[in-house]
Order: sequence, then C-alpha cells, then structure tokens
Amino acid sequence: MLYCPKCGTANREGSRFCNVCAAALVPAELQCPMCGASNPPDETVCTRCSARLVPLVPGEGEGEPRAAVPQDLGAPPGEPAGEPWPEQDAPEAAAPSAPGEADWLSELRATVVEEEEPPAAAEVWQPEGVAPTPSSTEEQVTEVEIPPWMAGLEEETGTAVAGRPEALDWLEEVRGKAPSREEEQAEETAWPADSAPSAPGWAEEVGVPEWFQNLGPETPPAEAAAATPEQELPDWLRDLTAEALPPSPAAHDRSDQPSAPDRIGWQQAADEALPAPLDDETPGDSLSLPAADRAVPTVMRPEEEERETERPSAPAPAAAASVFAPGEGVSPPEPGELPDWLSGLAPPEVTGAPAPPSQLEPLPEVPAPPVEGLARAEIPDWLEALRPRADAEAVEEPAETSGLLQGLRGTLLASPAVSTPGPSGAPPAIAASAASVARAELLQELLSRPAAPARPAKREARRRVGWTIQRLMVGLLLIAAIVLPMVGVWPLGGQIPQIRTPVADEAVAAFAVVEAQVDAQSAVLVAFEYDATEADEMDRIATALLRHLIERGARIILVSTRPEGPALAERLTAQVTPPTELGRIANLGYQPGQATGVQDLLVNLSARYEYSSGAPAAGLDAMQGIASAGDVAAIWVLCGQASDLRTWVEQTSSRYPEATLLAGVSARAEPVARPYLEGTDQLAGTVTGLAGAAAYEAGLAGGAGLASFFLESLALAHLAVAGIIIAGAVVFAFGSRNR
Amino acid sequence: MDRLTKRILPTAVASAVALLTLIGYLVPLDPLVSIRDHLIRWAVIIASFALVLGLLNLFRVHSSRLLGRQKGWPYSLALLLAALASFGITAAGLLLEPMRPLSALWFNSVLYPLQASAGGLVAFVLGLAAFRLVRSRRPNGLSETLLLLTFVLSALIVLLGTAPLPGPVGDLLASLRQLWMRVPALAGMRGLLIGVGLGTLVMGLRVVFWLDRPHSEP
Repeated sequence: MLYCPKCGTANREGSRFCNVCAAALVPAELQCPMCGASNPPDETVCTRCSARLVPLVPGEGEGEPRAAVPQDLGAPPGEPAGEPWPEQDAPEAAAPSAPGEADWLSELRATVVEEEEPPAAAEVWQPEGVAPTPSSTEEQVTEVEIPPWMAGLEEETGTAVAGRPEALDWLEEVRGKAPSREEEQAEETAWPADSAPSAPGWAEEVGVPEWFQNLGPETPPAEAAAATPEQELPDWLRDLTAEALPPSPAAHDRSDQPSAPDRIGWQQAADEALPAPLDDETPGDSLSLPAADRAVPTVMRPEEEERETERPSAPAPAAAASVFAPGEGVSPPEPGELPDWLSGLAPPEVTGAPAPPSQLEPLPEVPAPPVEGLARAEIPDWLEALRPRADAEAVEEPAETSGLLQGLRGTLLASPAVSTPGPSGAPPAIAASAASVARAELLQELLSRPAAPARPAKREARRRVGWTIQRLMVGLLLIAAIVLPMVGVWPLGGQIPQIRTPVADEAVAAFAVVEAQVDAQSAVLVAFEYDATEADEMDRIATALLRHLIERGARIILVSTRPEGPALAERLTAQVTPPTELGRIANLGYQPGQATGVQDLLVNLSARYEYSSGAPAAGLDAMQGIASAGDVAAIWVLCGQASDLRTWVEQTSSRYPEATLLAGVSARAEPVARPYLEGTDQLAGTVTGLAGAAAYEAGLAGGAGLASFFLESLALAHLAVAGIIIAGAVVFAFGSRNR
Repeated sequence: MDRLTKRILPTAVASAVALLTLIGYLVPLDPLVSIRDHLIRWAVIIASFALVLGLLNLFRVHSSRLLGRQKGWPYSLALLLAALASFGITAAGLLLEPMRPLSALWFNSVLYPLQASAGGLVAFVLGLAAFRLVRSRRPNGLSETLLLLTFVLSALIVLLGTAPLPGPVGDLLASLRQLWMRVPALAGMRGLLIGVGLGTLVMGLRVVFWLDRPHSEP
C-alpha cells in the first residue's frame, strides 16, 4: 500500500495519485533543462549531459542543492509536479515573461528587476511590536501543502511543522525577498551582537563551530515574522522580557538585522539541510546535559526550534534578542536567576566576564574553555562538508548577458558546476542507428570538403563547347552506323543475315512450332502489346509473323490490352495482307483491365466486337468455331515490355495450360522471357528483337524483308556503341582528373 | 456512418470479391465459375471507367494549369489541343465510315512517326550515356571498381554478341552472350520473378484479411 504524504490515505500499489486528495504519490522525475532527459528526483546533475538539475542561487554554500527542481521547473521543490504553483503577482507585473520562456525563468527575471528597483518601505522597516506583514507570496506559500519530506520530518519529531515548504528558503532568495549578497555579508559581521543565543562567547563555550554560526545569514528576514508569543516563553525568559520593556531605540535601527527568531530560522534551514539521522548524529545530542535541564532551549534541539518558528508575534524577538545583548536597554540577568548550567553557558556580561568584541570586528579564535558535564562533539564528515568556504562566498557571479538567462545573476554558477564531479566513468553512449551514423559521417565528409572554387567563365564556356562536341560526335557516329549499311557502304554487306546466332536459332525454333501446329483450318490469336515508340523493333517481328500466318492460310484474331494496339495491328495487316485475305483476319480491338482484361479476353473471346466495323465477333468468318482461347491453335504475344509478357504468360498458363504460347519480344524484354522459355516451358518459342525477326523471315517463302535490311545497320550500330563505351572509359578513366 | 461507407464497406467488398474469385479458381464448379467470370467482367467494365476518369483528370489538371498561366502552360495547351484532335478524329473514324481514312491517316502519319522518333532517341541517349559511363562516378575502392568493370563488361558482351558479326570472333562473342544470358542474367531474373510472385501473393492475402485497405480511407 502507498500512503498519501498529504492526507495519509492508503492507496493501491502502483498508484500515482491519491484517490482522495489527488496528490502525487511518487516523486516526479527531474527533466534536464539542457537536454530534456529524465532523471531520478534525487539527482543534482543530469545523467546524460551533466548539466545542473537544480539551479544554484547566490549565497548557497558549496553549490549543494537545497531542493530538487520539479520536472516542469514551474513548481517549488518538494511539491508534486502536478500541483499548481502559487501564482506570483509582483514578479509577473514587473517583468512579463518572454514567449516560450519557462515560468520559473520569468519569475527569476522579474526578481532581478525588483532587485534593481528601490524596495518598498514596508519591506525595509517594520515597526517594533508588530509582526511583519507577510507579502502575498508568503501568504500563498504558506497555503502550500506540506511536501512529503516535511511530512516525514513531522512524523519523526512529533511536532507540527509550520506550513511552509522547503521551497520557501530558496524561493525567497531567488525572488529577492532574502537579503542581497551585500546584506548577507553585513549580517554576517553583525550577527553575534544581535542574535543572543549565538553570541560568540556562548557558542564557543558550548563548542559550536564558527562555520555553524555563519549559517545564520542565510535566513531570510521574512522569517522574522515567526516570533515567539510571550505566553509560550519559559519562566526565566518571560522575566527577562518584562525587564527589557520598553525596547531601546537601537532596536529600531537594527530592524533589518537578524534577530533571535532569525537565528532560529537559520537553524531550521541548517536542520533542513541535514540528512534524516540528524537526531542521532548532531553534536547537540552528545551534550551530556541533565534531563531536567533539557527544558531550557538549546541550540541543537530541533523541536524547540520548530516550536519557535510557530510563534507568530513580534515583541518576543526583541525581548529575546535583548537577553544576551547587554547595554541595549536590557539589564543582564542576575546570576542567581539562572540555573547553574545556564550560568556556565551565559555570555560573559552575565557572568562578569569581559565584554564580547565589537560586532564589526572579526571574532578571535579563542579555544573554548572546558565545561563541566559537556563533552566536545566531533564534527561528522557530512557536517564538515557543509562548511562554507570564504573564498567561494566572495566571488561575485556576473550577470548573464545573453540567452534565456539574460539579466540573471548567479543562477548558473560556473565554479560550482565545474567543480561538481561528473558521472563516474565514460559518458553514456548515444544510441544511434547505423543509418544515422552513416548519414552523420556523410555530412561530416561533405562539410569537411573544401569549397570548390568557381570556374572561370572562360573555362566554363570551353567546357560547354567540349560537351557539345562530344554529343555531336556520338550522334554522328550512330547516324553513320545506321545509314551507311542502308546505302551500301558496308564491307560486310550481304554476309550479316546469314550469320547464325543463338537468337536466330531460337527464332528458327519458333518458326518450326508454327509450321507444325498451324494450318489452314486453325486460328491463331495474336496480341499486340506494344505502342508506336517500340514499333521500330516490334513491327519487324509482327510483320514476319503475319506473313508466316498468311502463308499458312490460318485465321488471325488480333487483340490488344493497349489503346494503340488495334490501330497498329490494323496498319500492319493492311501492309502485309492481300485484300483478298482480309476476311481471315478479325481485329477485336482494345481490351481494358490489364491482367483482368486478359483473363476475360481468353475466356470470352467470341463476346467481342470487331474494331473497325463494330460487328459482333461471333459473326465474323475468322471467328467461326472460336469461343475462347482454348479453341485456337497457338497464341502469339508481341510484347515490347516485360510486364505485358509476364501478364500473358501467367493468365494463359493458369487458364489454358495446354495452349501453345509463343512470344515475340524486344531485345529489352528478352531476359524476362528466358525463364519462361528455358525453365518452365511455358513459352513454346521466342523471337527476340531485330535479329530474331530477320532469322524468322529468312524462312518465309517471300524471302528476307525489312528485318534483314535493318540487321546490318543494327550490327554496325552495336559495334559503334561498343566503341563509344571503350573510348569513353579510356578517356575518362585515364584522362584528366580535373573534372 | 462515414466509417461504414468509407472504411468498412469498401474493404468488405474487396475482400469478398477476392475470396469469391479465388474460390472460383480453386473449386471449378459451375456456380462458382460463373460468379468468378461475372466478377472479372465487372472488373473490366470498372477499368474502362477508370480509363475515362484518368482522361478527365488529365484535362482538369492541364486546364487549370492553362487558365492559371502557370509555368509551362504552353505545353499544356499543346497537349490539350493534340488530345482533343486525336480523340475527335479517332472517334469520328470509329463512328462514321467516311471519316475512317482520316483516322488512319492521323495515326499513320502523325502519331506513329512522332512516337517512333521519340523511341529512336533512346538509342542516342543510351549511346551518350555509355560514353559518359565512367565519367559519372569514379570508382572508390576495389568493390566499386569491380562493379563498374562488371557493368562495362556486360554491356560489351551483350552488344557485340547480339550483333551478328562474321568470323570466329563473332562466334565467340555470340557464345559469350548466350552464356551470359543463360546463367547470371537468367538466375537474376528468375529471382526477381519469384520475388514478384511472393509479393503478389502476400499483397492479395493482406487485402483478403483486411490487413491492407487500398480501396478505403485509412
């Protein structure tokens, strides 16, 4: 069970907020203001970038954080992150926050503005006998709920802690409610004479170290309002108070100096800085005082100090201050009025000892006389670590001149941050993917490259001329390779078509298939799956095939899944087919739908309409006895692109696996046709490119056609392109590197 | 309601049609085959409308570009005029018998030469690219050098092996080309086809099981 630190309600394990009061049950994580990483609430520096998680304020000894900064930096330390921070009216009115600036930063900036302005009279002087009027900030802060750490302290001590969170100390210092650095130094020098219990003589007698006495200036003067009511004072102190009235005018003059409640306040602040086992380790507990004497307020008893802070009235501080301040209108108590043990601890004035040194004079290092019944306590290490260093306090941090912290002074102390030991070992590695690393390396490489000098205009112009010459040379060479064989200027004229290549052999094999399966009684389905951009090559194949089918006397059914296909088919049939044979050809036009269209075409072949006349295909002579692709002797697919060939092979093989499928493909689509030809036998034969068309038409009765005529140009153009590649490789690989 | 009409209903229709068509192939019984063929026919009709929609969208885009005088608007004007002329002449040739010679003339004398010329430019572009092959990127390291050499060697083998050349050199080049096409090229292409087949299968299953909804809004 998780118990709410606010109301004590038991909540289930894993709950984040109290079911009754909605207070946070788990401490909020600290978000780094620099890198945004989340850190445990007890961390003071970021585990990723080592940035300070807790802002350092001037006057804070050794950079030790007083409290953790909440996650959103807008709530006081110790407060749950989800609870709202009391609104501050004065800072906001003094310095409006910049857009996008954090609330706490705006408040800090406003505080700096307030410090530069003359303070109000009510903040400087308070009439004696009247408790200082708490500012609106104090009133609102008082209403803040007790944080968990204070609740725990309350449980340990059994004493109700004033409803003032730990954040008040640092907040007041940041907001300028606390005395400035100069005021604090002045207070340090004036401390012993005005704060009676911390009189140097008494403190030295009891063995209180000097650094512990110097913790007093950190107490904000606003806590002077927490005065001790007279009715709650002990008898011996009440008597002294009665003698102290009326107060001397000197008390008014030093109204801005710390008084007895101030000392109590700084003791409370020191106690807050102590770890939890304070009661067991504090030197005060090592005092071997009699049990009856423990009723007298001692320096090291937190219960009394907390009780003192709860006393609100103001006259008591003046009276209390006058107890150990002789010569200021208060008569020193008689030795007989004090207990024995207190007589030994009393200031020298009381016991007749020499007067203490002046307030402004540094205290001499006088060894504390041994006191009977008191054992000098040893300062533990953790307490020694809290000892402020004089040189660190003397350093005045400069104000920030730029950035978000512009105008703020000492918010981010450089020296404590530098002196703060970082995380042990190497910093945590940044998780980055290989791609990110590669991109980063590429970017670094690009950035590290020297900037290319601008080319001179003359050189640029010469470069453009060079490229133009290269283009012209390549173009002229190709044109010459194509045209020269056509005009008969070719030493190998007449020999090329007779050369047998593997491509030619495949075409001859396809020719043999047609010869074997197609006769005058059969029908052949021919698909025109190319457009005019591929017509230079594909038309040669289609022409050779149509000639062959007409020679065989077969009926020809033309289809296409391309919009231009029917027009191309009609154009070619008009060129190669005698007018008397046109009745044997049925152009069924365009079939949309790509793969789906091919499937529908194969199944419902007779349900089409003739391309030119629009007549139903079932009534055409070429379509007699043909209902589907299963009724034709062979299927020829003329594909300029590989995707069309794949579609036809897949759809035909799945629906009519026994059909004879042949393909006339461009040289570009040959690699796709080869697996179907040699691997699965889904293709009965192929005619590839111009070389295949030339080999195919070489077997026709009419002899060689345009394919053979263009084949010589093709061969010479291939040689020219190969020469261009070699020349380019030689020129650019071994030529000038200045590109 | 929007969720039903824009997400659930289109996805359900696509999945149901896919399942019915698939079952028609797996179980070739009469009702299932008839349903499958009807669904395929509907798909062809829808594809025809998609073609018309694409044509209308082309007109809309270039009309707005022309009316807004955006960059390159003269090209849009030429495209619209050419498209309207081709559409009108072809439609007239299909619908009216006297206009058929004009339609054939338009295709054979205008469209076909233009497209064939554009296709012929590919040879010149490829030739120039071959000339600049090494210049475009200097090989960095042994691996890139080997890749570049492989590419250049492949191009030379296929080019010289395809062109019928006389003599023993021609025979050698043709044999090299055939070996190159039957071993490495065939293996690579077969791998690609297997990958395409697997991808198609997975895509179909994802549509059937509603994992992909290409026909509906996300």
